[in-house]
Amino acid sequence: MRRIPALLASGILILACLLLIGLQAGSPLLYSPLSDPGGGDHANPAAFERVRGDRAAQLLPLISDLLDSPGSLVLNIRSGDFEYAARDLQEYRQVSRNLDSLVINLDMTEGEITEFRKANQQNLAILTELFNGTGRWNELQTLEIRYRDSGDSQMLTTITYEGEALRRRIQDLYRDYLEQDQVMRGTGEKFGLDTTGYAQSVVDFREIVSRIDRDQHEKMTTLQTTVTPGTRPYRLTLGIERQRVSYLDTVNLEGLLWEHRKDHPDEVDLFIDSRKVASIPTKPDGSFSYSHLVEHDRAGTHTVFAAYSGSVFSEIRTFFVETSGTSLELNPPSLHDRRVGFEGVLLAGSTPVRFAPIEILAEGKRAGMAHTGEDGTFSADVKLSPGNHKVNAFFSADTFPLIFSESATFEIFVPEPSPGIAGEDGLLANPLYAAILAASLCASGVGAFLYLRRQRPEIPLPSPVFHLPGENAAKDSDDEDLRLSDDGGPVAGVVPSAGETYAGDTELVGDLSCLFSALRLAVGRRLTLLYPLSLTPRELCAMCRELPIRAAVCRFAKSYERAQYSGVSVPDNERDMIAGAARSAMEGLGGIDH
Amino acid sequence: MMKKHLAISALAGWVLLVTGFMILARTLDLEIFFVLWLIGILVIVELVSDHAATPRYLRFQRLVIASGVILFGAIVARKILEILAR
Repeated sequence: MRRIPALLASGILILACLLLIGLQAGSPLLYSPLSDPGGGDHANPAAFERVRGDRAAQLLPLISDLLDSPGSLVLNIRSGDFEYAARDLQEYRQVSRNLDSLVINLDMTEGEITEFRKANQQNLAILTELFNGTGRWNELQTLEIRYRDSGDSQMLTTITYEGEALRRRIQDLYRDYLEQDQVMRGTGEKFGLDTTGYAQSVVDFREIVSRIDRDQHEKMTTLQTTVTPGTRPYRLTLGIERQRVSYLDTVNLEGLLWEHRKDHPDEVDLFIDSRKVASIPTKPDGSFSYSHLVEHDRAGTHTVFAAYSGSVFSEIRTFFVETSGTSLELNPPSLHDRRVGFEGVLLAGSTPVRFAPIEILAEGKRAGMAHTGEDGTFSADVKLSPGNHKVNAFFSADTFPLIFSESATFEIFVPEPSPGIAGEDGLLANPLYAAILAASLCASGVGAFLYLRRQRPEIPLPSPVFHLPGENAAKDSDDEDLRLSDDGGPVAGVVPSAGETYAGDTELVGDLSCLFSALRLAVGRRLTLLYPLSLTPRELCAMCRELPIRAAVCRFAKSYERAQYSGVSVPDNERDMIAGAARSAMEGLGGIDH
Repeated sequence: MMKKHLAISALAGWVLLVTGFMILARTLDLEIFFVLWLIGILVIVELVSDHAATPRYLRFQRLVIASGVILFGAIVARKILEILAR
């Protein structure tokens, strides 16, 4: 019967082990082509054929979604509902990514699908820029009201000019969008898909452009009539040498301030995309020039204008920054002390891209960052966890007029860390590690030793509190305030215990047992006994046979036994006799604390 | 029920509880399991043992606990070294 609980516990433990095994067995790692893509031996031609046959069925829903998505997105932009537009744009991006990954997985290279993908990518970029541009347009509307209320004519002019740049850009976007129309709708109609959503998006796009045109025209009219009334249109002229530039090209801007005083040098503020980029001092003839290096300008159209003293503005000029392709070359990574060293170079054609951020990716996740130097080279020292890693470098910077690029992927193995337990070389080589290990083991060893040697604190026995006959309780200064009232009598509520009497100057506190304990303790101290508390009254008497107090002790022991064990009540005179014997014995010993 | 059986049942229950939570959290960590087991057996032995006398079946347990404390020190050292090596 005793073994039943133990068997029960063992059974529960066994069941727990089986449960653990069952959890792993529930989802075993079975073979599949996805889990083992490497090696040509695993290719299954029959499966490939089936996949090719099904690919149209997989592609059609995606193409249908891609034809429908712009309709909803452009409609939300037109109605000014940017929250829903942002959600639509996000979904559109996701569907586009799905199409890209599906085409790559199925290894599709047909020209029609490739054309559709390119057109769709263009549309995605166009609609993203339309979303951002219309958002900024709405902000400009709000700013215009604010500046008009505050009478800030300079800022009013600035945002009007920025609005003009936006208008032109959105017009360009619309033209680009129309260019994709034939491919997109042609593909959809070929597959028998509904393209009315896409057609509606073109109509809505045109309405957005028309509305912005109308609003901007009103603004420009208002600006010319309110800000510069009765003056010549352009007392300040501005010209651009090259209209189309690319990364690291220079845009040369030259202008002339007509109303210039020769004896007084003036400064002309130059704005690119409504942001002040420089204050240029004019020459004696009133001309000025500025060279703008195209480096952190986004691709697309940029507006330029000059302003003099906040009231004279030049006409708006534009230049177009073309997108350049990039190539990111990564050298095979080197491993040293668990850190992986990456080196490479980023080029735009043959021009090094300087000060560009480079992401170091491990399994597609960012593991480190680096920046290119003047010569386009970069280096990074990245710490990776032990194990195999697929690493590459990635460049994507929105502030550059460059196309993103990705380096080749390398596989690298990072070994386990050298410092460890059990006396490895790395552990002993580093004195700090060895010291930490030794200190920890010593501390735990001391802890274990103290645990084994530990003794539980004994429960303290109540120490007897008593006063011998003849001793005044009031002498105990600690108890004086407790036991005596103001007039020296007993405190109300304190009941004298058995044997406690008040007889003249003799006060017996405590019962006979306490008296016997005190006497036994005193004798034990006198005779230096190891265990005095184990003595019986008769043994106490026998132990005192060599002492002069033997008679008093034995008289006390005999009377004490009779009083304790006879079973009858002790008369007062006998109590006095017992107390007297104890007192004489204690006096012979020199008191309890002799 | 004897105190010995109570102690065994309590320790088994504690270990099963720890295992169950580890499974639920999908983190089966042997080091954490060991430390929690050590805490459990320490508490149970302290509750079961008497003030005046130590039962015979608990003498061996005290040695097991002392060994566990040393192993715990080794685990702590290992964790410190792991953090320093990062």
